[in-house]
Formats: sequence, C-alpha cells, structure tokens
Amino acid sequence: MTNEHIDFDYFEDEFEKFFRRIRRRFQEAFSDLGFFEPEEKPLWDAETCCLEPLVEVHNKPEEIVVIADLPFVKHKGDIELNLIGDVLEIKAKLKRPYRFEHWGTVQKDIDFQTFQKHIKLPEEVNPEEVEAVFRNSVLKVTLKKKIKRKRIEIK
Amino acid sequence: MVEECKVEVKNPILVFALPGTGLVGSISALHLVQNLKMEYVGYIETPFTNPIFFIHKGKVTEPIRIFRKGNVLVILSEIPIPPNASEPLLKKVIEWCKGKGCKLIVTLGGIPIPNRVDVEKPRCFAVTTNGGADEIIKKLNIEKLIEGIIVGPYPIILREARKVGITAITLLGESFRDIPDPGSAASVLDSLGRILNVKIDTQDLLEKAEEIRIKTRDLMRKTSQTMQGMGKKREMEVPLMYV
Repeated sequence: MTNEHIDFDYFEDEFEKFFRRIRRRFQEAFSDLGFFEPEEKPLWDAETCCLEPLVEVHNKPEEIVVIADLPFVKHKGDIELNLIGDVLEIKAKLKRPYRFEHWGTVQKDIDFQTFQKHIKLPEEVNPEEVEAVFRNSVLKVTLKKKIKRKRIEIK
Repeated sequence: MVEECKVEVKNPILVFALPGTGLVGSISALHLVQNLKMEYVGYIETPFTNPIFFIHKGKVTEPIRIFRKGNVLVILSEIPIPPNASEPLLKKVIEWCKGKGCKLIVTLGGIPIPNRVDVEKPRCFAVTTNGGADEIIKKLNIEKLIEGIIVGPYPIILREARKVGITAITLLGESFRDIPDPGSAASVLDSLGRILNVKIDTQDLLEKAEEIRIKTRDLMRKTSQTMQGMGKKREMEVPLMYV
C-alpha cells in the first residue's frame, strides 16, 4: 500500500475524536472529586443566538428533578422538552429577542432568541413517567427512575 | 482595605455580601446600594483571587467594593471568594470593622430548599452568635434558625466577630441553590430594612427579577463551581447535636 492510498486526514480526525471522547469521560467521572476544572464554555452562542439556561439537577432515590431557569419565557407552549435516551433536551423561545446592551464587544449586538440545553441525566429514567410544570418562568421536570425492585425477605 | 474617601462613621453597621446560594446576598446588597443611592468609598485588595477588573459605564472598578450612607457601610463582592482565600480576607474585614468601632455586622445570603419552585414567598431566617443579636431579631420579629448547618465564608465572619465582641447576624433567605433568586433577596431585604430601620423598596426588585436572572447567569455558574469546593451540600444535612 502506498501513501497515496492512506487518508491521513481521516485517521487524524478519528484520533482527535477518540481522545476528546476519552477526556470527556474522565472529566465526567472525576469532576465531582475536584480533579478537573469544569469546562468553561460561555453561556451564550453568537452563531445560533442562543442562551444556555442555568439548571439544578436533584438526584433523589426514586426520581430525578431538573429545574431550569427560563427568564423571559412566558408560556409553556414556547417550550419544547425531549427525552433522548438519557439526555433531557430543553428548548425555549423568549417572549422577545433579548439584547445585552453595552455588554462586551460582540455580545452587545446579538439578539438572543432562545434557550437551549442538553442535560445528561445521572441515571436511567422511565420515559413514560415524566412530569413537567412551568411556573414564574422556571421549569421543573420530574423523571421517575427505572428501578427494578425485588422485595427481599428478612429471615 | 483601601479607603478612597476617609471612612469616619459614628456607630457604623456593616452589611456584608458575597456571591453564594442563589446569589441572594449579592442581589440584596446591590439592590440596597442602588435603592439607598449609597456612595462608593473604597475597595478590598486581595492577593488571594486572580487579578480582575470590572468595566462599568466605561470605568474600571474593583470587584470587592465598599459603600456608605449614614452609618451603614456595605461591602459587596462581584466575585465568589475561593475557600482558601476566605479566612485571611474575612479576618482583615473584621479587624477593619473593629478599628472603625463597628458594633453590628449583618451578612446576607441564601439557604437552599428543595421545593423552592413551589414557594411563593420565601422566608428569611437569622443565625446569631450572641444575646445581643437574639434581642434584635426577637424585637423585630425575625425568625431564628434553630437547627441546621451553614457552610462557607459566613461562619468565619460570625466566629471572628464574636472573638472581638462585635454582634453579628446572618440573614438567610430560602432560595434556589444554583439559580439567581431575586424573590429570596426581597425577603432578606425586608428583614434587613427592619434591622437598619430603613425603608427598602423591593417592589422594583421583584419587577426586574427576570432581568436580574438573565444577567447574573455567569456569576451564578462561577459561584456554584466555587461552592462545590466548600461542601455547601452539607447545608441540607441534620447536625449530630440535633440528636
């Protein structure tokens, strides 16, 4: 086989993807122990005019509760909620485009229109047992865990 | 402690707020400064945080600033203080307070509750360290936190203030943990207003709540990350002495 037949770019891309995946797995596994700084990406995206909402994830014994802050989202109809495997996707439309006037250099000219976030859930949930309520521009999603329960007899 | 104008106040009361749970302290203190039109008098310089300047209305400003109006002084931080920096910084603050003849320190913050989303009007609790503080809150009908755990920089303030004989009260509003909570800040300001005997209008704070929530997301995220290293989750636990 000659060099002409080897697509080095392809291998380079694949290796990069592989190492990124490994790095992310390590970060996920060890971030709770403080070994890695959390990833510092901005909470806004200039290209998509999208903001990332702040969320709290509460891992309870029987359920996972996700609370998402969605200021300037007015109606539940403006929110799209999807469960994709173990990822909860939140998309919401602001009641009007929001501009951070005077802030920064690039940011002050962007009209932000939506919130969007993908939340990796800490455990497997039952897609049939999900409830969501929206109150004062705060979304609360309760997801029941998939629990295989077997009663153990005490002798 | 750098005083840009000489701070000479008779019987000063210090209000102290750092970013923490639900940014309750920061939101409350900022509203207090704006609502009472307090005067900027100085800042705190610390080697324990990364060098940082904030640019506001074209001017560079320090992240930890001191304000004054009448006998009320406010120290307001725009940055969360890392756990290793808290002790030396706060000891310095108490030393400064002692030098100024301060008799009362009130710190402002939040206490996380799991069902905050369902609570229309959050309550405000006080943590006190001496009988003087107990008398103040009793007279003003502010509920005392009877059992619980508080973690972070405020225990240092309470401890150091007690050592030098300054009365200290920590006001804690029921709040979200990692979401900015102006509703909780309004509840804290209601109690603070009674302690300071000052009318603090919180109506406009509640009206611009969404504006505050959308603009403080970055500070909230940074604060949540800092709080993870402090063991803040312990605030939901039952202490041993409760037994």
